[in-house]
Amino acid sequence: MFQQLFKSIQEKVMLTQEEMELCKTFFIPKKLRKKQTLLQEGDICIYNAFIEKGILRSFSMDEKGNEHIVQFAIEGWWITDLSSFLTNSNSIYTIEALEDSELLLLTTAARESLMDKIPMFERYQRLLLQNAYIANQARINSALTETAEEKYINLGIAYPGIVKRVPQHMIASYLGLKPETLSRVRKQINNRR
Amino acid sequence: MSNRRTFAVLGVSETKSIFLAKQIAKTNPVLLFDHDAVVVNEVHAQILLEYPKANAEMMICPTNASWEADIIILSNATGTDDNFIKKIRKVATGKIVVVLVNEKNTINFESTLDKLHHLFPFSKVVQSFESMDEVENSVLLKGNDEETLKTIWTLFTSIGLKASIAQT
Repeated sequence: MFQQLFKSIQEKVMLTQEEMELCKTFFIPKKLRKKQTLLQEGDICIYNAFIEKGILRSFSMDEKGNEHIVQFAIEGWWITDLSSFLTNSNSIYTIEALEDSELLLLTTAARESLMDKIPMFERYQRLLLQNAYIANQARINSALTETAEEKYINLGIAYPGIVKRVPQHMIASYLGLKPETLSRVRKQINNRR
Repeated sequence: MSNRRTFAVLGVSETKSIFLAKQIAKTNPVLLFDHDAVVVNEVHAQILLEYPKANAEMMICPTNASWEADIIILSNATGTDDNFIKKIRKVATGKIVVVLVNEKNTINFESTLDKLHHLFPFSKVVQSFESMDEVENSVLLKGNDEETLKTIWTLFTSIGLKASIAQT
């Protein structure tokens, strides 16, 4: 149940066996079925979710009802609305499972307590936030400077697992493209091969 | 977070748990389990007959039901059976566990709240006693966590039970 979590932690910091056992007591194990939501737009995000199995997406919806995907998260990743989670404000995002998923949920209080009790966990969280910030900068840069084809190719290089598991119209939404544009781009790439 | 919390009702074969399952299923997903498959079938059919839009599902595994649930309700022997509790303890971490106490399981029910806390060391345990004052649908709630007690009191009151919280 904690295999991916400890793999993720041990890639960044070392925990003792006792610390790992203590760590387990702070996480809420939760199964989500495909299309079930973890967070609904307008609610306060009370969990930071680690994905042991499955895939989730977070998205916002505009006035016309169009979905805009801001993040996908697969095994070994975390997903939350950080702003809502840390400030107790209402979320503008919905987080939904794209496959049957197994999560480990951490509440704000549990996160704080865990960081107090295990200083290495605080370091782990800091490194995660650092990496998330770098990834966000890269995403903004990609959105501002890359062509549609470059965006799609680079996504496939960086996150092949996501491109293979997620429907193409969702990939298009994540890249800020219309589905027909992505379809054209994919055809062009295939024709050149 | 999503307000549609999922409930697991385990040991769904006595009056109070059937009532809870029916009422909760009107608004929230409910996962039903009992060792007696025939009974679960009957309860499930009964719920859907009375509330065709109810979100109730039969489960064959209590661990999976509890894993999927946000709140776990234990009824009949499930609240006193150590082997059964071992099956769900790991997936109950951080969740609310409500143990229904009634005449059927009171005879051998030596579990104090302390024992239940020992069995579910990382869960928020609430005991729900059928009231002795013979007021219909009245229950007495006992637990160590005030916020959890309020959550269950709100839930029970909203579905028509006359719930009160025991003074400690």
